[in-house]
Amino acid sequence: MDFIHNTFITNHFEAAAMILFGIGIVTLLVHRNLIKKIIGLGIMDASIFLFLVSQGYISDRRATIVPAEGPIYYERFINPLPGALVITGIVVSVSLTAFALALTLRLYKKYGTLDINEIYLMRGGEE
Amino acid sequence: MLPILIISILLISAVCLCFIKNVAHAKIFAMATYGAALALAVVMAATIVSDGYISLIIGSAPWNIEILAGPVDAIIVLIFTGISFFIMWASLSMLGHDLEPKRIPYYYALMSALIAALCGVVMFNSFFNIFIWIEIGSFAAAGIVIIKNKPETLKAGLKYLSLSIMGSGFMLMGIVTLFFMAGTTTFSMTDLGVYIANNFAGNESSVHIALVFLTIGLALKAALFPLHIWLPDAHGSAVSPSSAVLSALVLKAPIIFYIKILHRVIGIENMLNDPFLSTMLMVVMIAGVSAMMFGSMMALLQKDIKRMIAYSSVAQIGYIFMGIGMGTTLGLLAAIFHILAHAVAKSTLFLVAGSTIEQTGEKYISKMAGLGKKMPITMALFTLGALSMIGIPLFIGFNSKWFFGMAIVDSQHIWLMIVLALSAMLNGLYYLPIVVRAYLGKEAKEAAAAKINIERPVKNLMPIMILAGLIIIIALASSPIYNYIDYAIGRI
Repeated sequence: MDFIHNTFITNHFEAAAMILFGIGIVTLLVHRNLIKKIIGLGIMDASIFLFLVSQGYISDRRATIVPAEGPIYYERFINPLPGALVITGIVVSVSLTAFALALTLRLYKKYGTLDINEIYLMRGGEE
Repeated sequence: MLPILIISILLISAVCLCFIKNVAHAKIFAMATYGAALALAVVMAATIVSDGYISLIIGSAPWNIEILAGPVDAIIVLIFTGISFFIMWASLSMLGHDLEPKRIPYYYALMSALIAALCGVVMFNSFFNIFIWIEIGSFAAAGIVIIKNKPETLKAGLKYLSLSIMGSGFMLMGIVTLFFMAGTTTFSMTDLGVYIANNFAGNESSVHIALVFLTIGLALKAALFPLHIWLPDAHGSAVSPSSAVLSALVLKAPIIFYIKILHRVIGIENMLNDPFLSTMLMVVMIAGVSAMMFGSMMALLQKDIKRMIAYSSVAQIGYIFMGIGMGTTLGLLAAIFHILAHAVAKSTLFLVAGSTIEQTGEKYISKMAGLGKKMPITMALFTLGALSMIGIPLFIGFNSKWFFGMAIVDSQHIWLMIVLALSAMLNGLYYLPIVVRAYLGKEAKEAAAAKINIERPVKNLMPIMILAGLIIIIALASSPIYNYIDYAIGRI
């Protein structure tokens, strides 16, 4: 009981992140539909971002928006570094999704299907 | 300033090349860029040989970017810029065959971004910067595969992209775990290394989890045996210069990052003394050994020349991971020397395969019979590359196999000697028949009688000749290089 309490209640952000990571990977590997695979990648990335942000959060503090004037009270803010990283990570993730979707569109035009198994069974267009 | 100069020259040229519509201008511009990058890499290597390190910190903590280029990085950056320069030189006359003219400037733009990313992975010292460079590298690498715009390359490209992004996901998870374990305010690998050296006891489980994630992620990127499934498709179907760059260089950047994680961050003493981590090293070694066997056996079964060379890459990556997995200095030395040996020989082989496909229009190994008479210079270059891959003395492949042999004798795993010999024999089994059938046999006689000569012009073969020449030159100069790598890995 203690184990479950420690794992899922105290560290619920981390536990949720790990569960989402697993869901993402399984979606990526098991589904045959290309769009679902891309969704799996998205879930995987989101889980990492959740993990990152939750590590930087300190309870009862707020986002690091520093006023232009006046003294800065560091003890009122959460750790800003993970937030900065997540923004970078989101940019990477968005460009990845766009790239993968564009490729999927091309593949759909060439093969007429989104099912990865059918695509692998078909020989390339010219051959 | 030199590391930043190399990367920014390549990145700026990547942006500029997107706007150059004239193919001839784009080629001149691209070659000038790669030449400049190579020259700067030589200057950087000279600086590092005399000073030991180039260290640069931009900005102040916690937002700083840290560059730390040591002797190993100098060697690797020199390999990356040098080999890519020759491959790109060879590509000038090869690309028109496979790509529409309007795509060629974009091809060189992607290639610039890719080389910049590879150099970035090697020279940066902050985890998060390395992650960004690896992502840029995966996008650009997938780009140079799919740019051919044939159904099979799109298929291979999507597989490559999705698996390599999955690898980045694992890698990022590992980086984040290490970072939050230490609670440092920078992502510097050196700082983290100092923290782990002082506080390893008590933090073992975090290090274990992080290393499992990092190993899976980087093995996916470097195509270590069970996770190599994307490699034959991507490398076999891309344009030949792309295959050469992907096999010779792109696989090596994650390996260097992995070596740095083991040696700079976690520390090899911790790796060997902790039971879990030493098992991990053992697993990496076993995976490398399986890759050596499996890659060679799959290569034997291939009918397509480029897929065969791609499976041979799987086997060669196995050698490198075997060296890393031994956990000894000699093993690491052999692994780094093999990175160089494989880069030179594999790029020669891929470019030669591309040349024969271009001239004969046939990609099957069976159709290469008698080519020794039709394309004498090209097949001579292929023979050089093949002999090096098998490990015949006088060629660079022999030196690296010799160093691996020394490392094996030094470690407790003598049985690896049998694997090494078996693997060399298997290499011979799939490379030699091609060479023999190119020169001897019925088809060769017919070709000699018919006096068909479909050789490419010597000026187009020049860069491939230089790469093949490097196979012998480096083999002859191997002892100073060996000594320098020996000195370098003490300062990794």
